[in-house]
Amino acid sequence: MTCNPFGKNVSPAVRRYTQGILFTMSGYVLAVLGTTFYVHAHHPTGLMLYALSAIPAFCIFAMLGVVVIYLRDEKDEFQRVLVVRALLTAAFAILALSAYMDFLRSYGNLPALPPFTDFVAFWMIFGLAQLIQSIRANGGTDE
Amino acid sequence: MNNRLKVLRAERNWSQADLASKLEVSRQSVNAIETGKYDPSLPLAFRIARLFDLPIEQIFADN
Repeated sequence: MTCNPFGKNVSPAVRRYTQGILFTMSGYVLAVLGTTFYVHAHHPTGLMLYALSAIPAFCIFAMLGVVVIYLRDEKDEFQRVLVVRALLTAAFAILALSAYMDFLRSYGNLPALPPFTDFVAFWMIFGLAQLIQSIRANGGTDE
Repeated sequence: MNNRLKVLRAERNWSQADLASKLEVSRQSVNAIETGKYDPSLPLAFRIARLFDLPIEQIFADN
């Protein structure tokens, strides 16, 4: 994926990816705010609580779906490789970090991390990995 | 894998962006292939060979 996803020279796959991520991320924020407000105001239980919890989770699922669609549609194989590498980096980092935090909690009686930390950290590491790879891939001369 | 992409491109006075445009890939891809950071798939190697009108083995060489 190129550095500027809003630039003129981006592929249709990148454009769709950017729009999809913005849309699903906005949906996630709205879903979290809406469901949190509703749960605190009405204290739902049982099936309703399960259904409400599924709404933000669905947005996360949709966000991952946008990445999968990008990987399917992107014609530039090197760009696909960069995204897959970033996904693997983020997944491995989150697995290692969460395992470390679990052991730390288990051995040291430390409090649990706030909810959704893994999700936010995953996307941050994914974005950072993409940025680093993009900078590295842009290196070299154009003589 | 070594390749002569940079030399062949220079012979034709093409920039990386020119070559990327002809191959319908990003400039990053051309740069990664030229610098040996990325080995192209067989379909892309064939596209490169067709563009330069050369056999693949005259562009790419096994280490």
